[in-house]
Formats: sequence, C-alpha cells, structure tokens
Amino acid sequence: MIVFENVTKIYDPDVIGLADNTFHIQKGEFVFLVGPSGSGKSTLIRLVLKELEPTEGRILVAGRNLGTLRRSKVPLLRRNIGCVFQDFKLLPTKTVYENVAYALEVVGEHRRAIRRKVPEILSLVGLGDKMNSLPNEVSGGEQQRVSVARAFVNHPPLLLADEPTGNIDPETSIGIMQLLLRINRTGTTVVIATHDRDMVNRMRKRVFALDAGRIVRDERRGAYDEPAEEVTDEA
Amino acid sequence: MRLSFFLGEALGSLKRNWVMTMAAVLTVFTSMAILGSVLVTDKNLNQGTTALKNRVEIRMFLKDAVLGTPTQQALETMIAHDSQVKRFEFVSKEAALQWVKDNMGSEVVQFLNTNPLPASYNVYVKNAGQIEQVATRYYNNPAIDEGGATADKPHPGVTFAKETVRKMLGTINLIEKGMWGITAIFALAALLLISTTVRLSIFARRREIEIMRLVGATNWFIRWPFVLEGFVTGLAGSLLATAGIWVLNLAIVSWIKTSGIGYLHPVDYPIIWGGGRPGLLVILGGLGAVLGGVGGGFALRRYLRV
Repeated sequence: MIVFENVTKIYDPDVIGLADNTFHIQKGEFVFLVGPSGSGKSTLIRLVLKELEPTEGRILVAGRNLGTLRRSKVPLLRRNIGCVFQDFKLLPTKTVYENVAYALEVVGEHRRAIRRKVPEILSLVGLGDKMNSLPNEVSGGEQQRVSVARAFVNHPPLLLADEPTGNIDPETSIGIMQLLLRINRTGTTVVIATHDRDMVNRMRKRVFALDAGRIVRDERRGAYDEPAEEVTDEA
Repeated sequence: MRLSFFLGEALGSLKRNWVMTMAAVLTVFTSMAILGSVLVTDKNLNQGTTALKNRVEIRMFLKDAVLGTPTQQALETMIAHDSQVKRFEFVSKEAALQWVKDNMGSEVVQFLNTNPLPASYNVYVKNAGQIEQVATRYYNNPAIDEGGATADKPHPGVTFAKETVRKMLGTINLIEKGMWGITAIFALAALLLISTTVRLSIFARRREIEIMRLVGATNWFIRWPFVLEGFVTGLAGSLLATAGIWVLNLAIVSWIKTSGIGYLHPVDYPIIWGGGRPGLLVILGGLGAVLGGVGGGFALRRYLRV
C-alpha cells in the first residue's frame, strides 16, 4: 500500500525531516509511528499525502508513484486517503453532518447517497444524535469521532492519523482507537503517528520507531519502547 | 457542476461573514457609482457640446441697397451651395426690428422713424471647428456691408464668435479627457479594492481551504463558491449603484430642464438598452459581477498551490 525507497526530506535551510528511509506497508496493515517530537512522524504522513515533496527517494502509494503524479491528480490521491488530525481539522462553520457530507460532495456523490451514508457513518461512530451541532458545540472526543467519520465515509483503502488522541483524555482515546481498529478490520490500511504509550503497548501492532528522521526499529507486534529497556512508567 | 451546492456554500458564507460582505458591497457600490456618474456626465457633456455647436452661427449683414437685387441672390446661392454649411436663414430688416422689440422692449425703437437695422443671413456650419474657414470665404462679398471696418475688426459685416467657440471647444475637450482619466483611475481602484476585500475574506478562511484540500477537493471545487461569492457581491454593489445613479440622473435632468439651461438637452441614460448601446444596468451590473467573480477566483490562487 505504501512503499518508501530511500526517502529523504530536508527542510530549508538544512533541517532533517526524514533521512534515507526504506519500508513497505502492506495492504490491510495497522501501523504505529512512534518517536519523540521532531523525529519525522508528521513529515512521513505529509509525504504520503503529497503535501510535501521528498528531497530524495521514491514514494509509491497504492501503486502510484507520487513523484510523477500530476498536480491536478493530487485531489484524487487524497480522496483515497482518509485523514485524522490532532486538531480535528473540522470546518467550523459547518454542522457535524455537513462536515462529513463535504467529503462526499467533493467526490461528486449523489445527494440521495449522501443522505443515506452520512447518518449511517455518524451512528457508527456514536454521533447519530449530534448531527446538527456545530463542531465547537461538541466535546473534543466527539469532534475527533466526526473527523474519523469524515475520513472513513468514502471507505478509502488507506487511513492516516496524526496524533489522533493527542488532544483527548485517555478514556475517550480508547474509543477512538477501537474505532480505528474496526475500520482496519474492513480492510483499510491504517497508519497512526502517536505519543500514546499505553495505547501502543496495549494494541501490539506493527511499530515504526523514528528518531532524528530515521526508522530505528520496525517490529511486528511491537511496544512503544524498545524491548530491552522494559516499560517502567508510572503513568 | 453542482450549482445548487456551490450557490448554497457561497450564500451561506456571505451570510456568516456579513460584515465583510457589506464592506465588499459598499466598495463595489462606490466604484460603480463613480464609473456610472462619469458615463452619465460624459453622455450629457457630449449632448451639450453638440447642442452648443449647433448654436454656433455666422452672421452676414447686408447692405440695404442690395436687398432684392441679383447681388443678394448671388450671395444666397453661394451660401446654399456651400458644402460646409448645414443650414441658413434670412433675417429681414423687419424681423430684426421685431427681435429687438421682443428682446429689449419696444421703447428702444419707438422713436425711430426709419429702420436702421440691417437684414442678415444667419449661417450654421456643419463643423464648429471650421467656422473661421467658412466665414473667410464671404469677406468682401459685394452684398455684405463692410462699412465701419477698423484695424481690429477688418470685416464687421461677417461676424462669428471666434474666440468664444475656440475656448469653449477646448474646455469641453479638456473636461472629457479629464473625466476618462478619472474613470480609469477609479476603475483601477475598484479592481484593487475588490481583490483586497476578497483576499481578506479568504485569509480569514485559509484554514477552511486547507481542510478542503486535505479532504481531496479539486481546486475548482474550492474555487466555485468563492467565484460565486464575488459574483453575487459585485452584482449587489452594482445594482445599488445603478439605482442610485439612475435616480440622481433623473433628478438632475429634470432640474436642468426647468432651469435656464434647458437648451443643453440633458438626457436620461438608458437603463437596459438604448440607441444600440448597453444601458447603465447592463454596463455596471455586468462589470461589477465579472470583476467580483474574477477577483474571487484570482484571489484564491496562492492558497490553492499544492
């Protein structure tokens, strides 16, 4: 689903975002990107979205080479990638319903299909009764669920999440993670950048650990920290 | 294109940002009102110039002795065949006296026992600029009374308002040029103001645009609501301006007609179409709507780079 070949990203003037990384993520995988701030997690996600161009190397997403992808095709790429962000990125002037519907309007979905799909996905994430609220009228956890619903309403083959639980409490985070896991079970590849140690340790999924722009560990059923220094945190 | 969706987006955003909308509409209104006034003034000025030009005449005073002789006949034939003359009229001695009586009061002439006023031809030329050229042709004509010639006025028998005409035409020309200069400046100002207003409204919503792009909206999908927003704003402003100008035009025209300068023939600018040319509503509305739409679409450009 995602292939990185010797990908390097250097920000102006000479800040390293990613340094010479090669990896494959298979279709249907569930991957955590962990590592300290500035280690390159967000850079990786933005490269997959073609929000950034790599300085060197080749990126393939769903078999398409992003380097040769025409600018006008970028929206088509993004329609096949669901996105969830730490700050939710909801349109503040639209209701919960309209925010989710927007993702369908964008792809030219028929009005009737929109009226059917949006309530369906909103009740799936447990927001069936908040459809007409504005984003700032619901809690952080609920906003994040709206954002997940919007990311998934098109049933994209790939879903990226950048710190999806960064702004919400641990209880609510579990709900969000379970939601992402359910989405993964439908066959969608899920890639999550996170600082949430408990979550990563509990789920035991594939883990990429990044440090200073380099993937220093790629473990099948990994934990947040390296196995050697066993988990000893009190939090 | 899903017009209803885009229109809904545009109108919704206009309503939400109504302060900005008002600012933009007022901007367009101001610019279009200025442009409209210039259009109307220019048209009236043209009309006025034409009216004044038509009043420019040459007067040729005849010797009493030639009245009714072939000499007078020869002069009249010459005038009638002059290709630069539009029309002419003969004013007899009696008519001249009557004119004096009518305009200055009969007391002025009541003690005269003979009529001292000469008969004359009033000649109207086709092009006011050529009046001197035409007049020269009749100097020293045997039918014309050149009596009382001085160094200053070598040909008192042929008179025309030489200086006045020249100055008047020069002034009108200058005013016309000045008005178009002002129009050009204001049109530029309007373009910049509309573009700035739209850019401000976009700047306030750049986060929304970023989100739309992340969800996979194409540039035109994002752009259409903004274009429509500009279009609606421009149209609203120009419609207001048209209404304002039209009312003002009517008021001024009726004032001029009832005052002493009615001979200027003021005109109402056509509203939709008139005399084979687009009227106020079409010019201002069209310009405002297009400027708004283009401004809306263009102002987005820097936020749509991938």
